[in-house]
Amino acid sequence: MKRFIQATLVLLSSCLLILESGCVLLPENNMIEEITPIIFWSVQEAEDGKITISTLVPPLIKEKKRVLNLKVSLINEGNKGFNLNYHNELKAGQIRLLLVDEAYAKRGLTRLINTVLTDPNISQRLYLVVTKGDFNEFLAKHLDETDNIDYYIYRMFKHYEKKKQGEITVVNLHQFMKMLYSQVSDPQLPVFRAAGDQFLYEGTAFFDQDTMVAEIRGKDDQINQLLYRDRFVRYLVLPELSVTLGHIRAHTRKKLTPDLSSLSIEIDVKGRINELDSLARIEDNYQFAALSQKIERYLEENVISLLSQMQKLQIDPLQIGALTAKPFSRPITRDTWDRHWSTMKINVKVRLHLEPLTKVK
Amino acid sequence: MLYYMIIMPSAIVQPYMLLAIVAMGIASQFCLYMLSKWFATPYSTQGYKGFEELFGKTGIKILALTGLPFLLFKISFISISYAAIMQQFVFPTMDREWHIVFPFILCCYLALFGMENMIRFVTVVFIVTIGIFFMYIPFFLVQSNSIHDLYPLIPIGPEPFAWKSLLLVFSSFSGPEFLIAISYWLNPQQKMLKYLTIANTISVVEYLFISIAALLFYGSKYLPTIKYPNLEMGRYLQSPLLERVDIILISAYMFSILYSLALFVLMVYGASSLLGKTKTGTSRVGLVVSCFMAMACTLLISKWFWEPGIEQAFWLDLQMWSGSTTYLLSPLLIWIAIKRKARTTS
Amino acid sequence: MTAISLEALKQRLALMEDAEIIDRETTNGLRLTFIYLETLIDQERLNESILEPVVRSFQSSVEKSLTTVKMNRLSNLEQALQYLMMGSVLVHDSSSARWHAIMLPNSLTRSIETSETETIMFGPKDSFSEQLEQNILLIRRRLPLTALKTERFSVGSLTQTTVVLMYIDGLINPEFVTIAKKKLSSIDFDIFLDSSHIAAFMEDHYHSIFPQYLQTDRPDSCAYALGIGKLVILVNNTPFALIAPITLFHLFQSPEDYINRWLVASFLRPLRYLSFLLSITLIPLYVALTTHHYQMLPLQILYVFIESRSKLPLSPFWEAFFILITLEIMKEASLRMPTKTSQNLGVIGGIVIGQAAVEAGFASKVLIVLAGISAISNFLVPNYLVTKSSLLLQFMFLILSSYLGVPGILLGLVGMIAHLNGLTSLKQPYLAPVSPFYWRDWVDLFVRGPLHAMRIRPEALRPLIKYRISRRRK
Repeated sequence: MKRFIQATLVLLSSCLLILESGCVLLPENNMIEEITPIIFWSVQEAEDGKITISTLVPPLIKEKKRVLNLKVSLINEGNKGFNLNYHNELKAGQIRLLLVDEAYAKRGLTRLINTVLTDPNISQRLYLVVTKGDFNEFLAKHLDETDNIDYYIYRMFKHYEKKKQGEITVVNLHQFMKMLYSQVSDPQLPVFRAAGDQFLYEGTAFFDQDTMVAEIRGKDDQINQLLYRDRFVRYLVLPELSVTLGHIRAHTRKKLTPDLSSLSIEIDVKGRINELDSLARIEDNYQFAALSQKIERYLEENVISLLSQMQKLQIDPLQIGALTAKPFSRPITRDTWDRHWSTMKINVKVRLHLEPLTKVK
Repeated sequence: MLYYMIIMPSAIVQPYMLLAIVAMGIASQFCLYMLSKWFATPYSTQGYKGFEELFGKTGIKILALTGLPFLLFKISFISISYAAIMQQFVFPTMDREWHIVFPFILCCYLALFGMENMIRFVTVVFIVTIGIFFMYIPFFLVQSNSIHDLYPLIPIGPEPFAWKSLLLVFSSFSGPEFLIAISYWLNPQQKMLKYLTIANTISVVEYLFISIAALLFYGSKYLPTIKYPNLEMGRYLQSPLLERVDIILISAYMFSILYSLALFVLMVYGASSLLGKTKTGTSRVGLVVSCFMAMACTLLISKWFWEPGIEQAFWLDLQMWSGSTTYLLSPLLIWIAIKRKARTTS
Repeated sequence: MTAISLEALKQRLALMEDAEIIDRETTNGLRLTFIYLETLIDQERLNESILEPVVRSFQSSVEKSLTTVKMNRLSNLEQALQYLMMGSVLVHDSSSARWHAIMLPNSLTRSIETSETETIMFGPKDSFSEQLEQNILLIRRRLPLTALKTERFSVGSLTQTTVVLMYIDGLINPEFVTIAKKKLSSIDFDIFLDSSHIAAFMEDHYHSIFPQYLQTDRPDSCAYALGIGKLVILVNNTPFALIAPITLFHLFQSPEDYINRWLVASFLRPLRYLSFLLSITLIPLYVALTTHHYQMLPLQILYVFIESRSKLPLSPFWEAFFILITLEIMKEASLRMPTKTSQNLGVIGGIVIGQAAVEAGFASKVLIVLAGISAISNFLVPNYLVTKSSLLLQFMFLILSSYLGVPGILLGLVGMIAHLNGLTSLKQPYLAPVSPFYWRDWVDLFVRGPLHAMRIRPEALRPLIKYRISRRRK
């Protein structure tokens, strides 16, 4: 009898499963061959407060691609519109990139990000990118069957993120949000320019809270990479000195004085000279030392100029403000920090450890 | 309880609240000390007879009657909260009631194995839960961590001290008081205090571990905005084969959820059979009936009294209070009963 | 109790073509009647050691003339028939009117061969055969102990199968022996052709798909089991012995584990658990991911999935269902066919059907790969019965996953483990060193620790002699 009840229970429950589930249980159809999991959204500013949202379908498979774009006032209005325009249902669960136009970023990202955050399907590992130029035109040039440009861009970010390589800035949604919420720090995002069929890395955008306020390029960007969490930088190109340093690992120690009047930064840079206009410059040890000293001075100047730029804007993308947190003292407010930060004296010391050149003639 | 573990980091918004975990752990140790006194008495091994000796026949009925609503409420709260999590993370479009029904069917199956088997089952549940913790290790290695997220360590912030979070932490240590009801099967010994202490320490370490990971990952300003930090963190994890690890994580929590549900259902059955005519032996039909009773109660609450927002917060508060009270009072009650008994007999 | 008479015997032996009744007269005039079944007895030995000496003997009775063979006095007809059917020669001494039985069973049997079901590369190669005495011999050679007890039982109203219960007295937990004896003597059925029939009647949970008695034809496994405090049940006419009590984890252990280096064995053993898990959940996981959780796949893998599934007519569940059924038909077919044909079948099945299904667009390449992996990983589990039963589990998980996705799979896992947790083998918990928890036994559970570390017998079995080593520090 006991067994009988047990068996009936199991049978009943499985019957329930099979009978009920077909229609009631899960109204959402996620069958993999019937959906189109898009990889990115690109959001641009349009006239009268509206936005243009665009994406590329179908992603990944070998079919002729199409750019879908719509002018809408709400992002999800765009999603719904896409579904009505395309034969498959578009799903956001695999979205990896959120490309935001520069003009939109300068107006503040909060609304956009809130929408993305509330969607339970969207992962926190969503790369945020600021774009310049006409991104839709760039997409229109990559519609070939074999061309998975959206996927390639995603792979690029993933590649540079993985080993924390400082070639380009890579920031995902979570990191952006953490910086946004943090009391004294500000987020940064990479900036890309769409030009024709090319997608070019421009530099890094600095944000004041959620609004883009500045952009740094080239040399400044390289310095930023070095300072931002001890990254590995493949090449540090210094055209003014006709030198390229390679395989750079920087170790940064930042120290604030207790009264917040000055900041001292010590940077240990390890690497090797990769390129030099003439070998005559490092013929003997004195010259080698002189060169490295020259590079040190040069880097110090540039670090100071970058930081003073930040001070002027009262932003803190390098999270120097986080250093004010102490185990046994109350945390500092944003206003106090801004006041101190804008007038802070900055001392920078760069120590270069170069490996000597070998095998050269 | 498990649900607390999931929401706890959002209560521990300030780093100094980590100390609260330790403090509450010590408080819980005190309750456990009282509890161990119970296990040291011969009554604990005698099951029903032991209780009868301590409280008398009517006393037991009164206790069972007061315990029953607590149990039912606990069952409902756990299963609805879990269903809500499932709904939010795994199947957003599925009705919450389904998320309640399926675990309940399985929990009924589990409960049919009887108390003895369920108590043995705990090792498996424990192993799975420990396995879950390994998934949180990567958060200590995330690049954007800095030790500064854990400062300040002592409460000197501008915010008022959060008494409510303290309560939440304490109630999350609750649960061992239910060991009283199942002591008959546990075969308790003198070393019980040692085991309880170990278990308590493990909980403290677990909670600390999870909370520190969450603080490091989110920082103290971002953390309070997140409802289920623990699971959101799981969502950030990626493995080369599968992403969105949170779906697996939430499903793996099913082991402990179902386990505790089955245990509570068995207790409900026990309590209700105490209230009725005391029959000898257990009947499966009775067990199934009490399981469906618990399910009906849960579905009722879920359908009509569980709107997101105010009501949900109310239930959480209620659960917090009831959890803390039972944890504090039931060892105390039993301790007093033992003392009284000792005085009257000597 | 009927008295024995020649007429009664003759009546019973009517229409039995192989029954022989012969009369002989000894040199001193003793008239003897021999009754036997010529198919059951050893004819040569009958001639050499009975007929010849008897005929030439000058003694006054059979007992005195046949001193070299063991003779049993018979008192009634039933006993006589029983002896007759076991391969005895019945002798009637007309002078004393006594009946005797002389056991002369035909020792026709296979030679000792290598085990085909549990093959190992290194280690002892001998295996049990159908003859009970020979099997007992193989074990006794390995354990030359007087404490190794063998108790005989007879089960089956038709087959009268002899069952021998073996255990080491003073080492095994006596509780096991009591339970086993009780179970053996309460068996009531007619035909027992294999030890699995015996097991079916001795199991505590015969509805479960998990075997609760380990069947093995390896004497070394039996000797090991006896040595750590288990009992072995040998059944006549089958090469498979039963070992009990067992736990789930014993089904994943192979004698080779103790032959390999311990690190190697410790690597292989988790692999088996993993492959068992894979074989029951891999395809369900595929179904869950493709029907419900597209977000869980990394983009690179999603690409492969979409590409391979984009033009299929069937939904993932039905696709997987048909492939699994086909696979099972092929497996079953190759088992039933002669060895040479089954190789061809493997080729046809594997290449032609798999390839053709993909080309025709009935199944996706990914699924074929996964089905292959799960089928192969199924073979890694040493126990054949588990291999078979995992198919049912797979279908259960398949249904759950197609309706509830990954949570469904976990729901099934909880149910499965709870079921295992509730099982018992010889009234001992089936998940023993895990639940209830015996930490000392973990050295030989998911890993196979070095033999030096296994100083005590498994605590879960509660043997009377705890230590395996004789010299130990106090």
